[in-house]
Amino acid sequence: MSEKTIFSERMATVPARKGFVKSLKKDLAGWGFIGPFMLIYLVFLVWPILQAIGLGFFKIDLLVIADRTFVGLDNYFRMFWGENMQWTVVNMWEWRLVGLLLLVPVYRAWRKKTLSNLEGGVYAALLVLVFAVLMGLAPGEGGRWNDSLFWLSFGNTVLFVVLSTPVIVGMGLLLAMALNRPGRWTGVLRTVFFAPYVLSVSVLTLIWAFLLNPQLGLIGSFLELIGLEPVSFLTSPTLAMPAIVVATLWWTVGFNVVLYLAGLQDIDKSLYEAAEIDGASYWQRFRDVTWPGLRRTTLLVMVLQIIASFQIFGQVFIMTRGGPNGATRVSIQHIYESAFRDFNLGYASAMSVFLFLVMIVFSVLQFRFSKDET
Amino acid sequence: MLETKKKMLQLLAVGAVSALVLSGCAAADEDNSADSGDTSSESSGDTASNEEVTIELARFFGDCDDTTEGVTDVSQATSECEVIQILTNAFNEEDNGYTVEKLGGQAWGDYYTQLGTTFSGGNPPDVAVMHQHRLPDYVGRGLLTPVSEPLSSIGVDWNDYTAPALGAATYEGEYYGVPFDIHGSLWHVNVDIYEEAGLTDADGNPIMASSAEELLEQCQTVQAETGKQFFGHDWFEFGVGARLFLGLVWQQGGELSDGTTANPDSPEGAEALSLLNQLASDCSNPEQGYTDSQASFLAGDVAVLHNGTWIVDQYDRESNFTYMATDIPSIYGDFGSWGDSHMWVMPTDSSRSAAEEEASLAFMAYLYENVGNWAIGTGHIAPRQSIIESASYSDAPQRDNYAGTADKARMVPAVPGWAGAWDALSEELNATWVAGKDQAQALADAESRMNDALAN
Repeated sequence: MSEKTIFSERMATVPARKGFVKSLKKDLAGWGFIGPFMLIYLVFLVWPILQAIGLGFFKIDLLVIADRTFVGLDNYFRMFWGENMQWTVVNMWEWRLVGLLLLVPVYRAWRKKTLSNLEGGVYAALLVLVFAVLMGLAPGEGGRWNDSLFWLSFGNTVLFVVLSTPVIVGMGLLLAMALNRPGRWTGVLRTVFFAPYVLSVSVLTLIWAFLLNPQLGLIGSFLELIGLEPVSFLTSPTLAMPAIVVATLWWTVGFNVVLYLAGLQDIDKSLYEAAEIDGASYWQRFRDVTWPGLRRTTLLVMVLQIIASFQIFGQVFIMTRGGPNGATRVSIQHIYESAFRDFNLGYASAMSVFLFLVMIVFSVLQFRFSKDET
Repeated sequence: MLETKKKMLQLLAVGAVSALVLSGCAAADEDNSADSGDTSSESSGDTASNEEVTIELARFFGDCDDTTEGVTDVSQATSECEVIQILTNAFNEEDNGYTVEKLGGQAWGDYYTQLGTTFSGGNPPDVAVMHQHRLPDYVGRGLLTPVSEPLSSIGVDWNDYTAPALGAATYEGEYYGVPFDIHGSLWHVNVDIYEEAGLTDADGNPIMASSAEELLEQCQTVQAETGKQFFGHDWFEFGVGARLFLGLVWQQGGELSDGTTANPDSPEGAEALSLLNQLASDCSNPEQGYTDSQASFLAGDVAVLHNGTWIVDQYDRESNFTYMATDIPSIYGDFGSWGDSHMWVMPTDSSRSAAEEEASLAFMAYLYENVGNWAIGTGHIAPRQSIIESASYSDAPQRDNYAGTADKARMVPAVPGWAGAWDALSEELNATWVAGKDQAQALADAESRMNDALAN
């Protein structure tokens, strides 16, 4: 009689524990599969996040890391407050108005019962708090933010997210649709579009800084060829950020193409055949078959892209160092400089926590509202 | 997330490599302890006298292993990187029982980030290069070891150093570094363009402007007579504009810092910024960065390039016109020109053995001996009087033309937190000529941002 049998028989005499052991055995395989990943995830992601949250309440010098002073919410006070702060209804009124318009879809979702009273109430309260109340605060006459660069860099980061997300997601979808067909060149083109994704950020920036150079670069030469003046994209306060968006598009769109290609290949071909038999145009087939079939892929791509865009750093740091006139200074650059140039690890951690929360909010909202649509 | 994934992969790769390196170091340390038969650091130094002692060197100046592997003749060097790497090779070749291992070899932009993390990780290098303006950040935290006495005892003559160099290495009466050079701003001149514009004297030397008005007149003359651009420099990448700004403030008798706060928003600052903006709009191309401005100058399209001492020998070799490196002209009467110093420091590390400390000091003394090779090989100004007076130094190209900078160079203020303050100044000044920011507002913003950086 094997040990296993004896063990099983013994366990059979303890009926209350039988189900537990069976369940344990069943779960063991699952834990075995996810265990290694969970370990890495906990050690390299969850633990650093908890550390960062903790460090945000301290004044810590990067060079003398053992010396730390508990400062409570001082780091957050430095970020969010300033001298002579005043609330006015006109401060950033355009953005606040746009933000408050989000109350409309919340209200509609609540009327359609897709949002519970509690959830709808929480969303509405948050929107009113952020856009009607908090964004009305700004330094008054003679006042200033404790750290004006924090808000400048956060504003630029949001601008980059707003500019880059629709472009990189949209181009990903368009390219995937163009490449989702059999053919000799399709495979080659898929590789071509994905290839830049494997480059490191330093290579990407070298290529694009050279391309965009008005005197030495390809784009300047092309503009001269057609009789136009070469444009110095990276020194123009209005064109520098769009130029960074284009470079990022070239670099990362391949990843979205791969995700969309997988999504497209999951759509049942018979749906297209039925639509064609019904005489649907290309646009109708896209609107009624392709787009609904890609909802889940789009949700994934959008969330990944928003998070990636919030983390913009390497491109701007190497190509413009945040200039000209702060036009491309982004949050991670400010965090990086606070920690590694100014040695202020506690303050940098507090800013990281804020950025982390913003990304969480965007991701949750994206998941929540996309789920409602599907 | 795309970037996150890339970063994660890169971090994992770096982590894996670091783990291997660290485990290698740990293994090496263990081996040494085992061989010496004693775990105390004091005795390991004594008993390991027959062992090769390895020390870690952190430096910038780049990576040039492919062109310097096995080379020990410093006269073959053609760049900063090659000079320091060949000197290191030669030290390792000597039968002294010491081996210097280079950590990284980064460009200076990333260097201090990585150096800082070695301190926070509790594993600083044995010897590191450092700019003089960074010294207060590290000495003030007790992270560097004073080297006055130990280096004197092995042949370093501190009295041979020039006053600016020695001042750069001094903190509260102690020497914390071995000055390797003084480097500063120069005007690199295309003499042929000056000659074509009729701006040379009887000896054929370019006439340097002695007032702002004369400078702008020369600009008009050069551009009208030759069609070439008068002035060039990096207008937005590496804070080169702020260097000239600082020099012009000094020339007017002004100061940028009193040692604890910064005050760029002064009458002298306003005048300097106004002149720089006139140069940008009327005499230069503010869309040019470091690479473009050099390319234009070397192509013979620019009369004057404002850049540093470190590039003199390269321009002297590569220019196809009559090239001259000279002091920044005294536009406002007094001499005034941005300067700094590279120096070698020994980070404080309680885990360093006596043998490693001895090796580190020996390497620093060796670098002191080779100050002349560094200066002659790069264009930097030698910080030792005996080298400056040597025939080999004065025979090196162009050195006599910028002897004024060697004599009167002033160091950028050495104040804790200066790196952030300097970046703030640079960004605000750049915004005036690149983005048209109001000059008075830029100076006011620069002052408030600089003082925030110094206070935090």
